[in-house]
Amino acid sequence: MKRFLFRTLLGAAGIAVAATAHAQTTPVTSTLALATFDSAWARIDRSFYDTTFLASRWRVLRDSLRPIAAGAKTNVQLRGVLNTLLASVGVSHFGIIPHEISPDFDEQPKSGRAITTAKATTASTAIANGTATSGTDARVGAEPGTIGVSLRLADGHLVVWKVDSTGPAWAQGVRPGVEVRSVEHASTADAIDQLAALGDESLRRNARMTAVMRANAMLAGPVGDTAVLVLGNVGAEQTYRVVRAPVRGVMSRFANLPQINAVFDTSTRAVHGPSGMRRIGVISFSVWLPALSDPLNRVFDRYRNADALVLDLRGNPGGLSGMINGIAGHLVDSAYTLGTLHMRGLTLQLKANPQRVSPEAKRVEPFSGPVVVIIDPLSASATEFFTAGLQGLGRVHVIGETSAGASVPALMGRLPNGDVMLHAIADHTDSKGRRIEGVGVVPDEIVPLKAAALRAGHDEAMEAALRWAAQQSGKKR
Amino acid sequence: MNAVIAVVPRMRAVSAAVALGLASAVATANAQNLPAARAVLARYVEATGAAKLPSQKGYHVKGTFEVVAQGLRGTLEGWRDLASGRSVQVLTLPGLGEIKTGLDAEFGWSTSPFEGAKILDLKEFTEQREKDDVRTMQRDPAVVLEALAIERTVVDSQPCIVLKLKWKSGRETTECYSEATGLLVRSEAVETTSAGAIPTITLFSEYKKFGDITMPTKAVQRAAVLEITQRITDVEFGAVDATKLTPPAEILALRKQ
Repeated sequence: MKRFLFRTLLGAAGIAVAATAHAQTTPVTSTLALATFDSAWARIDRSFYDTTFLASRWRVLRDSLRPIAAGAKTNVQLRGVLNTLLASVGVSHFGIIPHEISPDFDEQPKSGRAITTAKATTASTAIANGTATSGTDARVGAEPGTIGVSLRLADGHLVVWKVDSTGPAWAQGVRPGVEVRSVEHASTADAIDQLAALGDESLRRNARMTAVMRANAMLAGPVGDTAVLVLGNVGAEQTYRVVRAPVRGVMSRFANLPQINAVFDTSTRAVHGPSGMRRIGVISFSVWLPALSDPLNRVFDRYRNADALVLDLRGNPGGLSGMINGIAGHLVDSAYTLGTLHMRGLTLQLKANPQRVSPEAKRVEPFSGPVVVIIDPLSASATEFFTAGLQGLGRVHVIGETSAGASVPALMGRLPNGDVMLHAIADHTDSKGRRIEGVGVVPDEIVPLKAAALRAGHDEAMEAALRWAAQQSGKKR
Repeated sequence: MNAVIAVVPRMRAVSAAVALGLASAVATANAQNLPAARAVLARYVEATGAAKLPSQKGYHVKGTFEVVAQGLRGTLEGWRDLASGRSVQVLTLPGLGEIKTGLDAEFGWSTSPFEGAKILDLKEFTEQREKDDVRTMQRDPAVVLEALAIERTVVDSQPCIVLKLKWKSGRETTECYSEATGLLVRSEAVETTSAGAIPTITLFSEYKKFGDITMPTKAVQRAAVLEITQRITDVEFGAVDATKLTPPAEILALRKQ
């Protein structure tokens, strides 16, 4: 009941209120509602890996929730019942992605930027934790916009974490480290304070991270619309009205996932180490989607002779986990097992595919220097497959904060009412046999986020990563 | 969401089977009033017209595939030269790109946007080569070392005869041939992949005649909770443009030592 509980708490705390403001109210018949409920229930019954859970509770849940589903008059009501069913599983990667933000491919427009959602970020962050709910704002056809701000928890408070210096929020004076009182009139600060009172550590952690994801999601919206933020300490609040600009990167869609904003950044840092000045390549990417495969391959190729690499995967919620085999292959010289997926009746290994050919089809060797991966509580799913797999092999040094612990693969089939159901189908263990789901990847070096450091212009996790990389790059491996 | 991707490249196996049939055996008598395995297979060869394959130089096949549980839908296209056994198959998925797999004389390969270029390991290559072998399509005892008729059963309302086959590559398959038509309707096998051994069940249906050859235009492959549906829409027999069979530059670079 863990997820159900914190979803309820979030609702009570008001976080979800703004997110449900534009919810669709498509009517459903009792027949369609029951067909949808039965289909959702049966798919999980056929595919969920924890058969002990299914044997003990699944039929009881069906019998108690099916009559409520039959009484649903709208898709919103039906999604509420379905989410209650899915939340009862207590594992990540269970959720409903509304049809409005993930229409069938055949429904996409023929030109333009295809179907976009006003909450592209919502979709991507929701995937890992199954929090894509009926409340997601979806305006099909709108160009996705951003104010160029990312939020995180620091010292127990929701703060501005990163501000894109080319974005509209920066132009209005928004800077990292300042506390967020409200987003789109939803009192995020009070909500997170309430969640801090939860006694159960695991529950508290999950609930607060979900709240952070929702707050970030509320920042997204159509280009030209205005986001309203209240920032600052109690008594010194300041209201910012920021007009959303086009997102950076590309909007990409894969399978039944909604459109997701895929962004990657790269830079070269010169850092003093024991062996002198070191040239360190820094690569970050927002999601594991094929749209980024080629640019990432080219970046890894460009840094083939760097002294060290830093992969910044903070906030990366996952995506296509098959991609980890290729990206990890830039860092290992053998087909090491990165992890194992345990399904009912089938075990699959995630194996690195050493990348021995450059994008120009030249024979090369994978990068063999020191590698740091930076993660945070919003790093999830495929990011955890990748990080835990390479950490377990001793190939990467992990810095930052413990990841989300949402580390199972899922299917995402369409239900009779048109919504997409995300449902986990396998348990996952990493290269050392460790289970990451519910636990997270624990960094080798924990660097908690501090608001004061952000206000002083420091990214302490990145600084620690560069320091470690510079120190290690002169050593024999 | 990703496990299925590991399986997608292996659809090559289904593709080959859909395009040209899959089965073989050595005649075996039995004590349950079952026909001899050889007779069942001979009837299959006759029903599909596979004996006429050597008169063809190659083929070009087009179709579609779908993974309903993921909302994945795409197209497939394949080329095969029957004399040399060289082949290439391309799966194209919106939002992902092209997954290419191929068999050359001495090696198998694959490329994909998410995994990059890869040379198949020897076991996987050997099995794939065998599946594409004309002798496999013609149920030649040189590639099917043992065959046994096991029982009668029903698949999709079709009474069929179950054969257990042991192949030269070491594979073992269990296949069911329609009593009414002689055509293959179901096959169980364990696919060798880089992700591990994957037990699969494939259902073949909607047989159609292309030239002299009759083949299933629909194959549904199941592996645990995953299901892939493949449909063949067009098959064209004739000489294959050699450039279609040339491995991509990155594969050729991988082969250089």
